[in-house]
Amino acid sequence: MANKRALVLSGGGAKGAFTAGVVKYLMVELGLNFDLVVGTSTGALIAPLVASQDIANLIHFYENVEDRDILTDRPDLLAFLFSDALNDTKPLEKLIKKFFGDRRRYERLLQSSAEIFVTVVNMQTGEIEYGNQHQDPKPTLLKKILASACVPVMMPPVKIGKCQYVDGGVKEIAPFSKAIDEGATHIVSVILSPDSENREPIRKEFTSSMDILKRTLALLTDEIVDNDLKIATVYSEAIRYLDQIKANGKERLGLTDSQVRKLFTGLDNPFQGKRVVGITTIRPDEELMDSSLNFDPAKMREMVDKGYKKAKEEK
Amino acid sequence: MISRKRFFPIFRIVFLLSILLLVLTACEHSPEISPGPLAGFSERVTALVTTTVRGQLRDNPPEQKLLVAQLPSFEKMASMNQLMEELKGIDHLKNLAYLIETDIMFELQKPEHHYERSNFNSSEVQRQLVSAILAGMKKAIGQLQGGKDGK
Repeated sequence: MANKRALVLSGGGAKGAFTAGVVKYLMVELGLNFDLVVGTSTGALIAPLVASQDIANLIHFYENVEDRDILTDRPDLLAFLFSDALNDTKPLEKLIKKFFGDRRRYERLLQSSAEIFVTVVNMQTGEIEYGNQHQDPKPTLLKKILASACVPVMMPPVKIGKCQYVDGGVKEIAPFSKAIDEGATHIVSVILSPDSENREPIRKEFTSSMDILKRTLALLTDEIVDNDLKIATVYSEAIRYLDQIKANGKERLGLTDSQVRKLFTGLDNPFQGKRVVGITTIRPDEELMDSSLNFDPAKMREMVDKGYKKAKEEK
Repeated sequence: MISRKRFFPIFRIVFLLSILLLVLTACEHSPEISPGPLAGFSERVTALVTTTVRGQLRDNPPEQKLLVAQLPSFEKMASMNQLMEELKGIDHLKNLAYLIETDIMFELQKPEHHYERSNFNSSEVQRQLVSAILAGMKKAIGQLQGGKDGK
């Protein structure tokens, strides 16, 4: 079976600058190419640029974008009462059109050997759906890229047909499962929060309901990311374990192939058709920033450099 | 019939609400200022070089100073090769030269840069490259030192 290298890009808003640094190291310095790029939220904004090998623009985007280029505030109380979100995403919509909508740039994406998948959650069905450059017409893909970045309540859902779509991170922040389903044999993933051992406790009392809501969302987000990675890792470990049992049966007990097969006959194999996937995860050692919706160019440049450095260390 | 006395407070509320609505509408307006994609070869080289230089020299003020001191002599270089040879001649900046070369080769292999690839050795492309590299170096130094070129 042919090798298929996938890049899995997690969500994390402004922290996507870290991913830009990682990608620069992997693609420019190491010369790596990917057959598959799967991204959620900020990862969905990065995926088309990775597939088009447009690393200069990826860096340019994350080093220059500011809050006002992504969102405009809606006054809190009125927004809660009369609209579907606290902020408006018109600037981000414009930015997406500028970076991906141009005919020549879009053609490069269509001609790319890398397949992209951006994750969105359908609010009506509650299911994860994907946007892809070959399966979706251009306007739909652009809408899905926008939807993938739309954190519910903070940003409005995006209407496609009769359904509303929001950030894929609601259900899967690091979309490993899509990469595995698409036949990835090796996954390089970029996760934008430190692992649980490196997460610092917050030593302050949460007094406002908004602070409590933000902290709760952060905890939920960490939990979803941990589970995404755990499921992907456990899958591969379980397949390896089964293969080892089969090998031991042959070597130590002298069983033949057909005897080994009989051992498993009649059992539903949950790993049917799946294969071992090598996973390399690159993530920061410490929390990159407090709020992932704070697009401050100076901080983002720092994160680009951190991502680049981290990728180099992980080599 | 509503008396004048009763009518005035209602009128005042309606008036205040319309003012509030006008203010809110004005607040939601945002001018078009977002960055657009880089189109040209030079701009893209500058973007890559900026990140490379900044990443390499961050937290290293002596090397930043060293590069700044060399910039005037780099300005005189006529070709990318000359510039890279100069850079490789400086022990602490040698690695930077190799990384910049990698950036340029990465960008150059793209289909849209056919012209630059075919005319790589021409003085026009070489001059373009030297100024793109120098722009990246200056921008990176500006960003690291928080100066006016830092934007």
